[in-house]
Amino acid sequence: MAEESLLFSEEFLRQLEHLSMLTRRPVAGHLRGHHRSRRTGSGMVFTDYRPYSPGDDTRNLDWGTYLRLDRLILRLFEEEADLPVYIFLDVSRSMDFGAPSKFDFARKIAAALAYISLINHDRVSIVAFSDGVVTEMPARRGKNQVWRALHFLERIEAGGGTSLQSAFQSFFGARRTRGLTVVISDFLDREGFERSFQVIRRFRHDVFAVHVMSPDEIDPVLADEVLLVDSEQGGVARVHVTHDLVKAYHDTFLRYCAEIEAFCRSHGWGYLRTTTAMPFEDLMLKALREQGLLR
Amino acid sequence: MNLLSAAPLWAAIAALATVLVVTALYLLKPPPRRMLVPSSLIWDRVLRQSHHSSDRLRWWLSLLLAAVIAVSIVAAVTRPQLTGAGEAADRLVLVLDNSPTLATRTTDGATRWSHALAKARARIAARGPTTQVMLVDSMRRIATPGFEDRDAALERLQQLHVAYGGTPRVPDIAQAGDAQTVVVSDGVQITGVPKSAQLESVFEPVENAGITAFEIRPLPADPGRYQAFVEVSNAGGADRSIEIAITGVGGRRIVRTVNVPAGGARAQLIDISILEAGPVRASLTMPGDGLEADDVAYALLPMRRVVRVGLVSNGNPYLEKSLHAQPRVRLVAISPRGFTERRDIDLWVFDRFAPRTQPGTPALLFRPNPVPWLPAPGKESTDVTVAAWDGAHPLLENLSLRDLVVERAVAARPASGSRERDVVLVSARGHVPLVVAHEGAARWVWFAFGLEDSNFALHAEFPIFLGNALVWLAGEHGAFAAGLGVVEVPVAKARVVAPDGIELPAQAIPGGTVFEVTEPGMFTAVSASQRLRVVANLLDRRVTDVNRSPLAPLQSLAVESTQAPRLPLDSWAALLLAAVLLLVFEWWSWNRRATV
Repeated sequence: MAEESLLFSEEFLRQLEHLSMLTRRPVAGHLRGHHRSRRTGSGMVFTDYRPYSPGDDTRNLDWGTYLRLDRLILRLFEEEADLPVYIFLDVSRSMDFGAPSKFDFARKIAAALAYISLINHDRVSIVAFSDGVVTEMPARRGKNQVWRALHFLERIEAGGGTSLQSAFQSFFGARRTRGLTVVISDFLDREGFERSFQVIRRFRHDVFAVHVMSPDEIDPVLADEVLLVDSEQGGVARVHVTHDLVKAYHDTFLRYCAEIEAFCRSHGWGYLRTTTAMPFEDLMLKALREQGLLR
Repeated sequence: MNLLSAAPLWAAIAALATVLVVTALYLLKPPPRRMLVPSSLIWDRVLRQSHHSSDRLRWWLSLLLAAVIAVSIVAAVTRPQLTGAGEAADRLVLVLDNSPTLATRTTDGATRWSHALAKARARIAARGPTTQVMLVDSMRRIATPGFEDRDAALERLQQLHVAYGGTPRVPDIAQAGDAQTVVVSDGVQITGVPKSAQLESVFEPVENAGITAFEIRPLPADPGRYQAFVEVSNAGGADRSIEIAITGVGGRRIVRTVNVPAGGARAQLIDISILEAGPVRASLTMPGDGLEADDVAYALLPMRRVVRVGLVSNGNPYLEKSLHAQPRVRLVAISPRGFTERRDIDLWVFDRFAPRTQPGTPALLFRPNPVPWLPAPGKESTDVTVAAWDGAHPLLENLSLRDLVVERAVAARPASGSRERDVVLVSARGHVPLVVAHEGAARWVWFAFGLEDSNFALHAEFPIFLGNALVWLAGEHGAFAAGLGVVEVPVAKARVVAPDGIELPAQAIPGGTVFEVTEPGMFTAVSASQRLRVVANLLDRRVTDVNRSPLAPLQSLAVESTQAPRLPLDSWAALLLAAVLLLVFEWWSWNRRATV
């Protein structure tokens, strides 16, 4: 399958530059950025008052209060920090399906999100995973890291099974700053998505799930009798295809997607279901904005 | 091997081969296509929920269905004929009643005969392939019945038809042994049905009327005029008004209507003097009539002309006066000395005289002198008693010779081989011929006694005899009357022509010809030297009475529908239907993926 180029048009890039990543929780970035953080500092958004202590910046004293109460009160502001963005890209063999393949489609999403984050001076980590972490791009920050991120994505190939839990445990096993975790996957994980997501939840990351699927996956066109071969595990199942069976598959698939969405929503996470048939510009400029990942 | 009636062994071999072929095809069936899917995670869930049966079980079920379908089709094509339970007898004697009443129509528009054929076919078809069938008919048209296989019996059945003449009877079948005997009949005329036989009835009561007598005769008071005697019988259960039509040459018709009571008969005398000489047809019309053969009868209306009679005698007042009294006779009396052959004489009457050579015209001779062309006279005897006479001969029609007393006679010697065409009409004790008739090119009638040596001339029947003799000798006798069936006419090597000009198949026998007549009509037997009109009529009250059956009406045709076919369909058709149904089931189960 020919890989799609990750290069976007100039016009599309200009449109992406107007977007930025959005997280519902205050971030814990260490560097100055554009996102709210739990720390108070030199930001623009007022948060609280506290009595003045020696050594405090006298520029933040509230002189009006001093005149009324004859007490030195210090105004506190939210410190704006950078956003740690962890882009988890599923590179298992199940992603290499459809035309265009889910893998290429997911890489483009990852590339676009990485571009948006880097443009906005967020720290971007890209993690390629299958049944564990396959490879990762360490945290990068700054616009000049865009080409490095794209080069990283272009080098990735699909292969292996799917284990979100292993990947999350492996990656978040090391201390990671709390941030936004974007998972781009088909979520066809035999171990179950709930246990996998519990790992992220423990670290209190904000999560956004991009569920990528192929139209052929939703409504498969099958012959009367086929041997279905699992692309990841190689297992074979003899299926005698009937209208009822295809309908049952369709319903089960949608129910599975709905379960994932319900889980995400119940934890206040974002979720977007997309197919490879969806125009990429619509996905980035409309759908992700509507779902609250971009603004 | 005849595929359409295969023996069970061949059918079993064919079925086994079919199963093997079907199994081989199943084993050669290509495996299903492999198809890569991202993950079988969802499919596993679906398949767990669908409770699909084992592939092996489905394969076997599919193979079983295909084998049963194939075997059913093979069985339907080969039509194996298996002997069913209750058909223990291997031999069947099937007696078919083909008497005339079987031609009676039934309410369904068919005839009793067609129902009888259907029952016979069903009886034969219900038997196993090894069954031997002997087909016998009550009218003995099958000359040499014998056991044969079913196909031959069915073929022979096709050749049978309703026959006329003779008495229908179940013949004694010596070689039948312990074979089951089935008699298919309407029970009207058949006799001799064995008690052990199973009787299949085709009887159904119908309305029927028929002509049971038809005769044309001159009026006694005026022999120049004729009347027809017609008797009509009504075999139905209600009084009927029946129209009788007498049709002569040129289509002239005389119509009468008679009321005939149920089960009775009515006779009519109809003056037919207005009709021209020639064939006369009597027919009756009654709506709903069951039997056609008795609705028509034929007769011949004789030519009425003057007969010139030459009486050669030395004087015989009885004879002369009696001949004079005949209305059509122009008598010329001649003495034996003055006898010469004359062209203006139609027939001669010789009294105690006979010319040395046979005259060219017919002759009636009373105790002539011995001549070579006449029977040789024997020793003269006295007080001769008449022992027998042929009342069926036209010469002795309507005569009784019981009171004939002959004082002296010179009885003839027994006929030699050269006198094959001589017929003894009257004989004395010891078969001594007293009156002999000769049916040659020129007929003659020879009397062994003179009129004055007997009381014959004093009998009231004597003028009737003279009238009969004039008609017979002049060749004017109406026609040869016969019944339907096999007719034997005294015309050697004759061609027999039907009224429509078609020549009937005829067979020559010594002194005559035989042919078969299946419907009333007037026929002509023509040989090189003779031409004879033959009138064939049914005229049998036993046949017309088509409802005189001991079989109850309830036993009739309703029995056929319950007994004849055991199944609504032939076995092969049922098998084919089963194969189609199984195919539909296989299609349904395949769609449900119950089979592969």
